[in-house]
Amino acid sequence: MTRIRSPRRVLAALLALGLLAGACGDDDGGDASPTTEAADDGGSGEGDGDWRTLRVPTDYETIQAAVDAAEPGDLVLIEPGVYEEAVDVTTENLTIRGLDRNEVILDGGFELQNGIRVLADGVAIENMTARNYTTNGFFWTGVTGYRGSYLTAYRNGDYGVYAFDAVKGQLEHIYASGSPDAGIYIGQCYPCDAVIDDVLSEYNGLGYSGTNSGGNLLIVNSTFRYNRAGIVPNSGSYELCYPERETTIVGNVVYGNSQPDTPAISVALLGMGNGILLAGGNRNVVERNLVFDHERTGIGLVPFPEEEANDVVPPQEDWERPCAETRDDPLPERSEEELALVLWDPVGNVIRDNVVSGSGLADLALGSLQDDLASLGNCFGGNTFETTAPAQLEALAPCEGDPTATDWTTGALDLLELMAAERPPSIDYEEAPTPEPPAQPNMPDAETAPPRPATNVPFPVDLAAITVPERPEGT
Amino acid sequence: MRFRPGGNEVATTLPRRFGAGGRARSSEATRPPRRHARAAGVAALAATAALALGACGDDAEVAVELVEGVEVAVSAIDNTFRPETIEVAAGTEVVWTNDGRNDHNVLPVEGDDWGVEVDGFAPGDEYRHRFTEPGTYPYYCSLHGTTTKGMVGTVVVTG
Repeated sequence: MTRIRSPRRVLAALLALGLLAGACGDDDGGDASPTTEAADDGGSGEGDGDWRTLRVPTDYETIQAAVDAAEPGDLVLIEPGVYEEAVDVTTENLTIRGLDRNEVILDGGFELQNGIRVLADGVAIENMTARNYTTNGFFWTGVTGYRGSYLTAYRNGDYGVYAFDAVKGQLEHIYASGSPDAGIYIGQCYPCDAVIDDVLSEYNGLGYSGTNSGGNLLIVNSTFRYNRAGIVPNSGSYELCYPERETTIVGNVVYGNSQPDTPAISVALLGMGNGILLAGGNRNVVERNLVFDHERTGIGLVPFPEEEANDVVPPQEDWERPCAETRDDPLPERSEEELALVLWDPVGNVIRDNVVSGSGLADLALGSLQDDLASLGNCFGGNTFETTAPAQLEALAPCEGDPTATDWTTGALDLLELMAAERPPSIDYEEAPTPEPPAQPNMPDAETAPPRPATNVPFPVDLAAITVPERPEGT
Repeated sequence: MRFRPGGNEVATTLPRRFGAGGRARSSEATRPPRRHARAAGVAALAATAALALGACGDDAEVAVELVEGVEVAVSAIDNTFRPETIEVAAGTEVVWTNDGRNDHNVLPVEGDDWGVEVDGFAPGDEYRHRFTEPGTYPYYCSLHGTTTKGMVGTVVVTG
């Protein structure tokens, strides 16, 4: 296969050979099809250097075959079609791209596990759809450097887009629907160094879930609607690196997350009817979001109750410990009594300058099963709202100055009643009435853009420039 | 069906892990009471026996003290083996418990004479294997890793 190093080298090769691409001997062997190998037209910018384009199915019958034949820096370019594959990627710094987001479809047929599973650093996936997988549409795990752009993931049995134990990431221009856990998930990382930007997540159990993640983790400029619950950072000892902390949630539109007919895991049932729910979330910043129309709370800070836990809440001085340092920790020695029920309280969160309305219980809420809510160190300020629980929440826990109220009991959430309430049961993800996604925007220049591996992510975000979003038309 | 690099495993036997009531999936495998009180290395020595065991890679025999009754715990949480690496004496029984909410398996990177598939390792289940020969035994969960990346672990058995 001709190795393309730069546009000038492409031109030189064309002149020398007098043809676009010769069907030369295939030194790469493997699964290359007998079709003419592609010569890339090169490109400029980040794709400069030593890279090839491997086309599917023109050069390789399957995506997996092309991925296996690719070398770091290469571009796997997938032509329109339905691919019944579960692809594993173990070569770093690949760019895997569909030519048309809506017509390059990976279909798991409710039998295959993951559309694309990435276990190599620096892999970018762009411009395609994954549906009907038993677990995840797109899945990165244990990697440094990942990017998902212009992806559609729907009707998958666990998550739509799933980044686990992965750092330095960018998830952008994504549509995710119909998963019982979360449409978008980033978990078990600290510091995560990741950005979620311009995603639409709907008809999932949770629009976003992030267990034990945080640290330079931004969720911005996105829409979470029609899920059981919208944005749900959460803590639990069933994953490493607990608790969740330091996620920044700015400039999102969050509405109508009381959807009763989605697939849903137990946490989604418990959290149903809330827009932004910090379920045992800590030291998060929730700012300048537009949140409306929720059965329970617009922005709620509540404990996450973990039954049969593996550990108790670690002391706060341990919260800044990077995940990587915890991997070989000895197993905690705890009594069964200690682990029977662990409550992960929300601690140290900042909720300010949001516009919240139309909540059944309270636009802003803070609850715990312990009496001293003030000691949790959460604050509320500058929000536009009508109701809070407890009443006068911004006076009880202001972000600036001293409290001007002291009554934490009036209008307080009855958490036990809420947790015990019957919720509409989960509907199997194969059977749920998840709408077929409308056509989603394609990435620019999919045919010609050079590969862009995930070696320079996340992209910078100007948080200060983000304003409260306008209310969408028709809502 | 074992995972092989290059493709995801076909999951024909994996119902979803959560129902409305939490851990919905049961298993025929023994589900022990919640552990952690019996953490790594806490079991008492019950008996010892000297066995002649073949050394890895050649025909030489070395005397290894088999320590009956010693067990070391590894927790399979979502989606990590904790601790990832353990060092044990030959004869130790390693006990993996699925303490997560996901399905997992425990598969040796080399060979197939130990390990447990998903169906025998649902949340709450445990799997035991006694390592009698010194050596390094890498393993992984094929649902959440490959032989070298993701949910992986290593048992180092010393003589």
